[in-house]
Amino acid sequence: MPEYICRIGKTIEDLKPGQKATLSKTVSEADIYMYLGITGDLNPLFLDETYARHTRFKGTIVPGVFTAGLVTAAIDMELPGPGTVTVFQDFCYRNPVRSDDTVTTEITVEKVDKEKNEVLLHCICKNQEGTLVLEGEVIAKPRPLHAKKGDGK
Amino acid sequence: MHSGRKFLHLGKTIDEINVGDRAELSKTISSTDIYLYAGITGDLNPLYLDWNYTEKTHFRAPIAPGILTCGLADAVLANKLPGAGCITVREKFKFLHPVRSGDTITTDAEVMDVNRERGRITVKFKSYNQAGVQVLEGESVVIPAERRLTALEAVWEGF
Repeated sequence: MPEYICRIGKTIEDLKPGQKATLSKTVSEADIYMYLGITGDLNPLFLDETYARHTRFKGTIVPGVFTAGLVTAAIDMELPGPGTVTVFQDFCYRNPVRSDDTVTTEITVEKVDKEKNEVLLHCICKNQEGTLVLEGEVIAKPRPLHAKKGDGK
Repeated sequence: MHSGRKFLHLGKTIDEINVGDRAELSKTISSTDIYLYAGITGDLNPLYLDWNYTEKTHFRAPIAPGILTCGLADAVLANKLPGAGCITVREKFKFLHPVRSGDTITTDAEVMDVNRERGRITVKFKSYNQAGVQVLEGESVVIPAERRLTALEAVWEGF
């Protein structure tokens, strides 16, 4: 089994304010079409080049929620890592993401609440030119202390 | 700039939207949706994919990524209210109950505020599963479709 599936995330005990993690992904056109097919979000702003060229964006853009999905991926894969449950998220979309852009997500731990087993994470996404595309906050519950990968059987 | 003729099938403009307008949309989430989603975003959380792991958590079985339910909520914006061509500026979501594959999610959207000066509306979401349990609560700030492509522009684009 690949190594990344076997990894388990940090628990609340391992998390401290100021910890950081990043994850990058290039958004391909196929990603966008599959994503739109899954959700049924047929906005011409994402699909129709002719229409989108006449808007302020001057071309098709990537759905905001898709970029938000990359943030969730960074939270679930890097910090706190696999097993994390997201309970609340608040995202502002600052600039459009285009297909073929490489989006780098940076997660910073802001607050750790051991009693509620919750962390407040500050998230920013930048494209390959360093332009801020997304900014937001997420409240997540890290992997519970008792759940360990592989002892399900 | 403006044409009375609706050439492209675009959604409502800000002048056609009022506080209290509602729309809803349903979709069944299949396990294919979840696997495709995990592959596209690279989000391989065992919570969505691994039965062995989830058995040990209070969820007991894999759940659907929360952001997938958000995507369904956003689909209401583009498909119904305000409709095609809208731009999402800000989104807040609170996940209240786990969603499983096979669940049918109905998202109910309601316009809470219309700011005609800034050209923005605030839409509130409530998503329910087939048993009527609320799974998601959210709020989105949206810019409705800015303008319609004139007939002449649309024809010109065809060449």
